[in-house]
Amino acid sequence: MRRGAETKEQMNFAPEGLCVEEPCVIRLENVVKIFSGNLRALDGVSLCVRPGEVLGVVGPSGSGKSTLLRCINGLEIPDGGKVTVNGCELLPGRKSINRVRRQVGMVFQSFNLFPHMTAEQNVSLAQRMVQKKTAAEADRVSREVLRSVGMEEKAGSYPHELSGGQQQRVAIARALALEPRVMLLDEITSALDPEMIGEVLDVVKGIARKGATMVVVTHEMGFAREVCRNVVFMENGRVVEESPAQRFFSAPATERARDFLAKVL
Amino acid sequence: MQAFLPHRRFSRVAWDAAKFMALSAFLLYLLYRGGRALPYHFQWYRVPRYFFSFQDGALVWGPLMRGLGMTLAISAASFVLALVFGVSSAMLRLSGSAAGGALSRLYVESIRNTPLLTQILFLYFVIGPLFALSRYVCAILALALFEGAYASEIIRAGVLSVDPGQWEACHSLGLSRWQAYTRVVLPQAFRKVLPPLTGQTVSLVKDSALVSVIAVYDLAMAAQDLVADTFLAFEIWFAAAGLYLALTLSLSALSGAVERRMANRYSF
Repeated sequence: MRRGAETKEQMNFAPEGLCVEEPCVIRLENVVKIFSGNLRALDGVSLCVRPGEVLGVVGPSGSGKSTLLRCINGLEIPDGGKVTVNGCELLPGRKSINRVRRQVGMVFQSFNLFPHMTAEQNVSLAQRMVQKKTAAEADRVSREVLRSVGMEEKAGSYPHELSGGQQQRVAIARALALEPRVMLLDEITSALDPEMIGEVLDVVKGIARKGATMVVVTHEMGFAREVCRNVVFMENGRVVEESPAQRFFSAPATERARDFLAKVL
Repeated sequence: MQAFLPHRRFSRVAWDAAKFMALSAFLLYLLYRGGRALPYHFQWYRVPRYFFSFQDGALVWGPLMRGLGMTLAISAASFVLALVFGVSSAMLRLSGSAAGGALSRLYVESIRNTPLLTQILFLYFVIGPLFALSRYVCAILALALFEGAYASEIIRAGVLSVDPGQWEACHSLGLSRWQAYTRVVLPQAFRKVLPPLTGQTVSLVKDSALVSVIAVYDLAMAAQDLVADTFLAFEIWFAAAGLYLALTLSLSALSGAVERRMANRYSF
């Protein structure tokens, strides 16, 4: 009884009570995710993302890269292991998941902008609903963030009036506006026409230069090489190799990473 | 080839129109023959006074128009309530909660598989006295429950048709389930369900004629009364049908206008 009361108090008045000091912004310990009974999408993944680090996640399709990202912000709940964001453990409860999500921004392959809202409304919605900012404050921040991705002139446009590259830049702005501790980018250029990839990657490079912490799932090896400090190579739900980006691309340590790079480069 | 096309299109349209007119003429002829064969003496000139009349220079609405007003009021009130029932039931069904899903299913299936007439009588004679509900409240409640069950399935389909990526975007931004529904999912679902929902609303207006069984003075009740008083059965019922038609057609036109307005603003 006594213990239960204590826990409840901590939940209500000291959410940091469940969090610990932690050198990694994101820490995964032996995370397992199983789909439809027997498919092990993640098969014991452990990694650590430090503040200011940009971590690239590469690997063949179906290797578990996207599932890895989705486990970090609770879009998927791991079946085993432990996910810690900013020292707070991700638990299946709504409260814990929301606490983690407030610190994590995510950008999707298919943009997922809200089609019935203008670019600016897309960016300001969560600021008002989740962060409880006033309309004026949210507007100010939205304009600022849209300017930083070069979209201030399209603030009043609906998503269908924008090109794919522009939509993705708005989606990045939408995530950035909440000032997350870490950004998750899930193959954000895979749905784009080739001529629009550059403008989106330039935006991401700019964010990286400002010292943002990011986990980037990508098929753009040149981009990963340029932007990422470390690279994780995944296959069949496991981390096969984890190396500094320069070394990974010039002299991969494992046979399988060499095969993969030979195919995609 | 280019020069041929407009000419060919015109001839096809002309041929279509000719076929349509021939068919209409034939149907009208049948109608005329049927009317002549009927031993009935139409007295349309007696009907207008039941719409409205002038007494001492002032406009006085007749029973048909007063009935129409009641039909309109009851339909409007039950439409709003039906939306509430429909959305709540759809959300319960989609909530993932076993009890909520079962409750919603029980509601939808029991309402859809029993006659509306029975439901109206049940509400008025069994539930009504329990809570001291007036006949009007019973009528509105019965219609709303009935149409809400159909609306529930329509809205559920609309919500399911919204891209799951929209939910994921909401979740990743930290929006609550309620916020995601009200700000993102339902506004998109609404656009998709507007046409079938309009059809359901047209049904609601027509079904509202059944509330006359609990002596609510709606359009159908007014027509029944007039027929009993005047014996102008065909004229009065045709007039009432015309009023229902006018009401439902304006509903469809309104929904069409809303649809076009939304299509102009954004497309998805």
